[in-house]
Amino acid sequence: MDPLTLLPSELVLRILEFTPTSDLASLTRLNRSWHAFIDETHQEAIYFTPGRTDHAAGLRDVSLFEKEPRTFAKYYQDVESWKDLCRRQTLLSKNWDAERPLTTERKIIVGRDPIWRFRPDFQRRIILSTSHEDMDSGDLLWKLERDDVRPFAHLEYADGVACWDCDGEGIEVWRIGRERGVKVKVLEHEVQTRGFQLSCFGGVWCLCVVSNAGCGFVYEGEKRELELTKRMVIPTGAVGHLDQDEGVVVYSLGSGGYHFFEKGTGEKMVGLKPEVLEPEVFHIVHPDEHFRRGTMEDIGKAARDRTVPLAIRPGPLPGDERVPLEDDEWGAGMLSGNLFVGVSRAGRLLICPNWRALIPHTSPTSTAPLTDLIQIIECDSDGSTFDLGGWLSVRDHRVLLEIQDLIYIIGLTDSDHVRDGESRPSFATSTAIKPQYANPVSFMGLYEDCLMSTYTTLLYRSRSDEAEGVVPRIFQTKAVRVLNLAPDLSGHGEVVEDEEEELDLPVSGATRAELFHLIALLARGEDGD
Amino acid sequence: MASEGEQTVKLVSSDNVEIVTERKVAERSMLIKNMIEDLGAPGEEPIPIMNVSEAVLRKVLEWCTHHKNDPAPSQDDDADSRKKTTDIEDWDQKFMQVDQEMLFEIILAANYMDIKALLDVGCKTVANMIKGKSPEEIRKTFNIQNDFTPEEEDQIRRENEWAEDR
Repeated sequence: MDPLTLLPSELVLRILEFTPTSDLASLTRLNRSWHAFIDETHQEAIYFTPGRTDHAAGLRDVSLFEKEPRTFAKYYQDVESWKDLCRRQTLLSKNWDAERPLTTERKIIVGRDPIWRFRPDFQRRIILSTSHEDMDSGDLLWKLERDDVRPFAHLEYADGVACWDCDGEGIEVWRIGRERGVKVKVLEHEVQTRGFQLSCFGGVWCLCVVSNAGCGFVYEGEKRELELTKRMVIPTGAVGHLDQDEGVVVYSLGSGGYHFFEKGTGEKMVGLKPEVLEPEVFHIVHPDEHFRRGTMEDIGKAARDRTVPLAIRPGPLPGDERVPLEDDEWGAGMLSGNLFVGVSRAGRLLICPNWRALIPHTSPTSTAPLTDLIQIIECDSDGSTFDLGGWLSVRDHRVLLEIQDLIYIIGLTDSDHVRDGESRPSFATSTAIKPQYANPVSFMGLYEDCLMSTYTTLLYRSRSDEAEGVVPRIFQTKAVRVLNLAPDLSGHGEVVEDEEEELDLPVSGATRAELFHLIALLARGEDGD
Repeated sequence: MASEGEQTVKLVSSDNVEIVTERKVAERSMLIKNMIEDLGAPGEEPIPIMNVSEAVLRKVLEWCTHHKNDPAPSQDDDADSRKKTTDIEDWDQKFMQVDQEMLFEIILAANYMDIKALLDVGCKTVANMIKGKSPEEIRKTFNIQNDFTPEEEDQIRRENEWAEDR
């Protein structure tokens, strides 16, 4: 019996609400009536359904979806219909879920200056760093003078507002546009700044600052203004990493774990000491160079070979004595809804799928044992990338962290757990043109269609740049690398390789001899500077 | 006077059969609940369920009896529609092991009688009959005739290839 002939349209549509998109593809092939029902008469209603497409609740007109771009590749440009949006989102999420995602790569180098801290703004189409580049062309848009920013300043950015620390105890607040940046004010406080984090929550900017002298500060304001709204007394010894959501600030205290504070009251909500919570332990063995050979290093890399699959196994990391959990030191920590993740000096990734469950007496079953609350993934780290406290990024049930010369992308389940066979695939990608050039990343982030990080590469200064008689030189420099997972929409979801040359070096002006010299350097892996 | 839980109501099916049932059971149906409230004197006047035959009405009331103590449906039930799962609890799954005609009759009755939870169980059951099947298998399941030429079907397949589980 054909449901379409027996049931009124509203009930068929109700059935389709429980039908995955892959089944819709089968249903529309049944016969003319089904095809007309799904792909013509009710196409909009079917694909507008939340769960079929991910869009803001108030959005009715799909052509406005990309009004404020949220992807590097402008992946949703000219979206034609809700079905087209569903197609694009489905293809993108399939690629993220692939064991070896198809990728394209962009490296952005501006002038000869290495890029240190940076932040992308997908709406304004800029990458903000100590210089500011157009996201699409890579052109320099405007430049801060050397005196404007102290060396190695930390950068935070949210929706047109940037903050960096200046000499002394202050934080500079700038308004940022495509054409220029304007210094608005300097927020002075009497103790030394260890770290700060800027976010924007529905039109309210919020800057949280931490000092190792036992102070936390919250600055808030609409219309890109920031005023001090709360001072918090926190334990001394904060390491400078902190994160926030709308109501909560979490401070990293090194060997003291993490401390969660309520913004409104300034009171501590809960502390997180991983060693008292009987974590479930997993491990990842760092992919060795032999395994990676022929993938990371080949020039003209295939689109699938910019990443290496990672296997997460139950149990602790085998091998050498490790720093005991209670002696480990915790660095960067990040909130994403109920999920909290943190990274340690010894290469542990802490995963707490529901950190609010740690708060005493909030759960109705307060007698529940303090187990199953956290999971830890032990990574094969030599500690070389922890000097800056580690970088983390969390998005859509994935965690980004840096281990030695690779960036790990750890996939979790829908409930943000590590589960054998159920978690999203995990993979790794490189932080430098060759492993021996790897430097700790200065910033990295996970975004809807890409991951962005600093990337160590070589820059070649040809003879024509130099005064007569000066030997051409090869420099190590840091670029912004965009590893893009947005599939090509013109074909059948396959990524088309960039026709750009894969070598990072602008070699057009080089002589033959210089080129040989360069190739020899690359092959030997000598320090280029 | 009997307490509300023991009150009975008389329902009349479309084929004119009178069925007496507990008021609490009948009030799983928002249609009946509203009618009782409008009538004011439950138990006396029979309530006509015009679109539902005796066999289907008895089946629906069987479901309502099993679920009579479930929490009342709340206003924000539609809000969680973002997370549409097709999980069906064991008892409901057994309850829905009926022939296709009855299945669709139950869906129509649940819709008419405004029993959202039963309607969802019915719709999920149909969705599960489709789940993961090829077009040919779905056609077989519901006895649907294919009126496409092979070229047309192939064209539509290619247009929707992106959605297929790989």
